Amino acid sequence: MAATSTRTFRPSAGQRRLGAKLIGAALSLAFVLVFNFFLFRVLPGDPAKNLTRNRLVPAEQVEVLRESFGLGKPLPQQFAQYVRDTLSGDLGISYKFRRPVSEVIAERIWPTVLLLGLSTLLSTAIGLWIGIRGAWRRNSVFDRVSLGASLALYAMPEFWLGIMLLIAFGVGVGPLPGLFPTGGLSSPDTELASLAGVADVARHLFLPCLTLTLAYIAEYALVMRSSLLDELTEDYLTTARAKGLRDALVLRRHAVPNALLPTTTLIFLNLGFIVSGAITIETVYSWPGLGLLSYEALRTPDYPLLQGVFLLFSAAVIIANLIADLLYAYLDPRVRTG
Amino acid sequence: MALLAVNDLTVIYPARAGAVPAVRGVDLTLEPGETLGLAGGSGCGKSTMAAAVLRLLPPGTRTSGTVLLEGEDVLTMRPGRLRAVRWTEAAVVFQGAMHALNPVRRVGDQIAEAIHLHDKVSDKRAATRVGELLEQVGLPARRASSYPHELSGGQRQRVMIAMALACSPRLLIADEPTTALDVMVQAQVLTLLEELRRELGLALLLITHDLSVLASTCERIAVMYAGRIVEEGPAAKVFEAPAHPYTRALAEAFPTIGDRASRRNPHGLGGDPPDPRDLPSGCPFHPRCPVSIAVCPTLEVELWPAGDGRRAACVHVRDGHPELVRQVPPHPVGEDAPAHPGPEGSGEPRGGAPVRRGMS
Amino acid sequence: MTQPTIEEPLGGAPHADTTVPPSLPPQLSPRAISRARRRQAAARAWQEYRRNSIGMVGLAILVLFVAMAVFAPLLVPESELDVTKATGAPFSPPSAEFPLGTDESGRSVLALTIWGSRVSLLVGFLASVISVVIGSVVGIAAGHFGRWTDSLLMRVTDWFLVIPFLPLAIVLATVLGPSLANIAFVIGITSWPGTARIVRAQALAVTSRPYIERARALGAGDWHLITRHILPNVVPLIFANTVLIVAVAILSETTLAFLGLGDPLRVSWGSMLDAAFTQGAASIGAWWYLVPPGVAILLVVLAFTMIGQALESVLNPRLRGR
Repeated sequence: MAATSTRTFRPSAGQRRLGAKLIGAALSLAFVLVFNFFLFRVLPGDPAKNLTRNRLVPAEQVEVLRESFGLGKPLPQQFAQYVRDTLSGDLGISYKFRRPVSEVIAERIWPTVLLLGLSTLLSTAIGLWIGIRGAWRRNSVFDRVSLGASLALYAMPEFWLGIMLLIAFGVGVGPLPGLFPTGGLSSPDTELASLAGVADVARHLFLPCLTLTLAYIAEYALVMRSSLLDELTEDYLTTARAKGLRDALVLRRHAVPNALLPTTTLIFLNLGFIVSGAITIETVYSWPGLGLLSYEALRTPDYPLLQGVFLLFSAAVIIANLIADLLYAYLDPRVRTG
Repeated sequence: MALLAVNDLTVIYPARAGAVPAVRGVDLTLEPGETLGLAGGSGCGKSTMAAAVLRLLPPGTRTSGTVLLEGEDVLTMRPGRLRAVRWTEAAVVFQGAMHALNPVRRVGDQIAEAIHLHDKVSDKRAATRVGELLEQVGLPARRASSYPHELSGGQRQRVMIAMALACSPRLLIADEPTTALDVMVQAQVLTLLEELRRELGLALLLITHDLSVLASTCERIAVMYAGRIVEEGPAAKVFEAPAHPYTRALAEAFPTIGDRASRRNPHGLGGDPPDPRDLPSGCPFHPRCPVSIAVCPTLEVELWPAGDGRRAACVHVRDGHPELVRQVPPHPVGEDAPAHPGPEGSGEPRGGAPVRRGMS
Repeated sequence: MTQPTIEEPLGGAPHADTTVPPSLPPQLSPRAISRARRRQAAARAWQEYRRNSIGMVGLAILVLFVAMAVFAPLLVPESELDVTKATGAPFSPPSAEFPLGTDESGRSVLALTIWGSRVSLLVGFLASVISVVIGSVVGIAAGHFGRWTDSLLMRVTDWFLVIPFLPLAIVLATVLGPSLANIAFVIGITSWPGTARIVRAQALAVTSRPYIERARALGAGDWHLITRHILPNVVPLIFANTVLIVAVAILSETTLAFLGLGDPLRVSWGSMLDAAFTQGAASIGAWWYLVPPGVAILLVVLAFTMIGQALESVLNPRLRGR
């Protein structure tokens, strides 16, 4: 396991893997930058015109756009400028808000982190529990019902589920009044930094969080179930039972930790999928986060803002993937030392 | 009292395509300190026997008969009592070279888990015991902190043995302990098992498809085919002069320990092992038997005395012509006999009358 | 992963000649033999599939929806979609005249749902074709040529795999502009990496088989190897994968249309949900406008998922009994 000798640094297999992962993530990020840069330039014609195609944009704004792209300069120079600007946090000026994109984005990060964080936490916990129970009591009523429900939840667009829940619990059905607010982060005139304020935000958070949780539970439950079913045929579980372990402990100490390995990776890899859900659900519930911001940007359309949000989402998912790889290596001794 | 007494054991696995009778009426006894080898080809039910002793059968499995471990029937024990008996009265050495160890837990922890389950000891005491156990099987104590993938196949098998000894059982069941190991390592593991057995006074039930392994390690051998015992007796006798044609085929399949070429090519035995769901009528071995006669497809013979303390379930033995089994060409016995025959055991001869068993 | 329904082209020859249909010419070329054998394998797979009840239910649902899409003009005249000729009151609940109520301009929701199936299914199929073609080409090229081709292609695949789908699709769709073809293209270009990975793994497995080496030693070129040996072995896999991709593509179309990126001139289930939501159907409780397109999507996606799973269990026996 010695990583170094006296003369040369010879990386171990683990370190080499780590290095490859880091380089891979960096390459992916670089790729996003290149993609973002070329996206509006590869199209035939004047990029500035393309961007404002068929839409009424003041002439001076077209000029600003032209300016900001550095059009007229050679392509490599444009690219260098673009990379410099992006890395220094300058993502351009939003058309819609007439303020720097980075500022607009910064304001919207926390509602999204709150919504996605909470629903990921809940859906992971519940989904894994359902998957474990389903696999352990395979073909039981619980297993069949949860499997059917998972497949149905998986097959419906999450925003449609959101709208249905919105009608049922926000708007109200027939004589039943709505129980929860239909949108927004908080009611007007509420002091956020108070107990009542927190309760108000929680009430607003309830429906979007419920929707996302339901939407993600399905996948986690399905993956955990099949992963554990694979694991349950393994010989080391017979060894554990032979030692005199009760079934619950065989499951908890031996089968589940092994089945969790592939599932853990999936939870992180799923962040891309989760981001998609955020865009539509925040739109349905007017939750003022990055998802709603993307929707506003694409409806305007506000290209600098759209690009900024895309850049942020991509970077977040790439980094989450990197974390997943590292975590996997930490959790699985075969990868850690192999 | 016998340490292990299996009486008329039947095990039927559930399956979608129809129930699978894996064991069909088997009797076995094992006295304290005795070694018994259980041999047979794949699917003959020998591993089911190992699982049945600790009732490690999949849910839905039907059993009948009794498995008395120190006088108590394992098959009808309450779950709590069963868990207490597991590993303390009998422990299993699984085929540890492959997947019998949890890949994501340190081997020391896996051994300590068994100790903690059955003894209220401190973590420190358990760790010390783990170190002792590892040294007992010829591994340095620091190996406790290794993961299974960091060990070689032989080392993993040693860990498996150490784990089996953790709660000082009186009976050790070794299920294919040498399969998938190198020839040299196979020999080492067998020697280790034999030494431990002698030092600790253990009874050993050694299960393998390799008859020559049993011949050199065990006092007695029982050979299984299609869920039944077809021959049993003192190891050397059974191996050198088989009284059942299947035993003969098995013996010829392994002229020397670890000769891989001959493993692929069992002499004189064509055809596949029978499907337990659809066994041939009469003696289930008759379609592959080189010495079968007209009555074989209609007659299921029970174990009959075959001389030298042996019993065999073959019509030729019943008719008093056990030599017929051996005389038929193409492979006269003796030609491929092993260079080192096993120790002459005290295979207790048991009266003349065959044990009667109901035919189901 | 082996595909037992497809025999190795060189390995299983002997028993094939006995079963060649009599209509074929007496001197059989190897190609004719293998074609006959492949037909047989497909027939066997279908026999197996028919016994899978989940798969048959999925197939029945799908056939129903495809029939609805194909015969939409016969079921409902296209003029019913014309806003100017709408006869009902806006947002009126289900009645004898409008079994599923009306939309914001008084059009029949039933008519919209029936016509919407055309765009949703068409985009779904089109996008899947694009996705599967790209994925298969990349996968086979990476698996067959190996070395730097493989590294490069897998690098690109990984990138597409890691980039969040919807933001990427939104950016692309915004730049390309809303049209049916563009939406299909955007979905296709963003959803191929999964296929590429699966196909590559299978192509690698096939390439390492001894008879490929034999064929290569006999002078077979890359094109011959790919079309005669690798392709026949990966096609069943691609087929099962395609079915699952269609489900994903239909969901993606719905999402993009809901965000206003769909073809503005055509009705799809997604654009119905978009119109319903932006016109405030949810806040006035007009569930009849929102439920039918959603249920239609749910059923179609579920049908594809069921078919896909049934196909996988037919083509990959290892999964049987799951």
